[in-house]
Amino acid sequence: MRKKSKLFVFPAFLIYTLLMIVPIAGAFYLSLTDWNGISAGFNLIGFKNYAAMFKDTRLHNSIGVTITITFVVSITVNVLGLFIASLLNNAGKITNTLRSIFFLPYVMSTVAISFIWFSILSYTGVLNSILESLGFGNIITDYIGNSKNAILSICVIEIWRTLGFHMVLYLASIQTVPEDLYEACTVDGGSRWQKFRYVTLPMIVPGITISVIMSIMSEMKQYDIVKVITNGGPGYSTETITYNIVTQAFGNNMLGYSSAIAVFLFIIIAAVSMIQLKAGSKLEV
Amino acid sequence: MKYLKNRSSRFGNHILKLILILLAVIFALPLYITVINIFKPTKMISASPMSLPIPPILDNIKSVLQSPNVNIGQMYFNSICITVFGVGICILISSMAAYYIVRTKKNREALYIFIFYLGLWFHM
Repeated sequence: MRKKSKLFVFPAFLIYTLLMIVPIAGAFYLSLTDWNGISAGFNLIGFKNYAAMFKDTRLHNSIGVTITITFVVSITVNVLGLFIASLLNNAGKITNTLRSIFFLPYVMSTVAISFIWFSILSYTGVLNSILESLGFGNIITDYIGNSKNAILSICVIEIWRTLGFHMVLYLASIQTVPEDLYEACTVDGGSRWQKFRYVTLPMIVPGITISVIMSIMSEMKQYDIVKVITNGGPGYSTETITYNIVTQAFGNNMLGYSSAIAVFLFIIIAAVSMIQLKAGSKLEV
Repeated sequence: MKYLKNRSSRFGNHILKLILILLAVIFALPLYITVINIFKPTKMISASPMSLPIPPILDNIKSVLQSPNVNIGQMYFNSICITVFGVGICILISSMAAYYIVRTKKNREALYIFIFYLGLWFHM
């Protein structure tokens, strides 16, 4: 029994080691070198790449942008997702229809979504022409051209894209809450809010943990929307960390340095999700 | 008293449903704009992006299908190939691995899960 079942994990382990562990280890190694991605040889330079990260204002800006996007998107998506899910749970007949509407954006490819939103948000786009035809011509702005609006636009697109997914996660965990607990709450004279606060919320803590972790991880790795909508610009002002890594590696040929940033990001994401897993298991009933 | 409470909660239900439907409409708007603008000429899109396409025009779809730069059959073939093989192999192998992991000792289970989590943390 034991031996046979060990064979079961072998293919996954092999593929995983070859395609995941080896490249990750390679990135760790490259982060200690000055390789430019083309030359045959490179030198080990120790932790100089990591030291250079402290002085790189372009990187600091991209960290700031990533943190902003992560905060705004993951908080909005989780709060709104939980809200919509708890409404949908007792909406009756229309539940299925509305659920598919909310989930639809997540099914489409991120790049296609970005192009749709680009045509809506650009200066000559749909939103501005609607505003103009409604007589609000004076509040027309460029939603992509300046960095503050562009980051907000990226947040809106990302919220629109991922909200359905998190809503379905919450809906699934709300539906596992046993009905008799709600009945007990009704007998005790609990209101709708009290049912949500004292029955639903404690029972879906594992679902909340997973949803929050997934949103934070995917926001910290944000790349495709930024690439399509602003291409990092104007200047470097809307670059995310992942975008920065890619341009440093393949635009500026500093593969060693970009590996160092990648390792840094990896450590942060790992730390954040570890903390959350611990906090989540403490809150569980 | 009970009757009153029931009625007020039913009223609340309707309001909540209304909020939901409103949210869904806002949510579906970008998709609506995309779909209706497929059937409009470019001039009409910038003039009135929200209006229904009357009369509907198939020029946009035709130009996609006939463009020499867009080989849509090949594109679909590539995507379907990746999806079928990727998902097929993934389901087979990951379910096998999961079967072993849930039947192994607790501390070793944590190790395996940690190894497989590494991939989630690293960005592609």
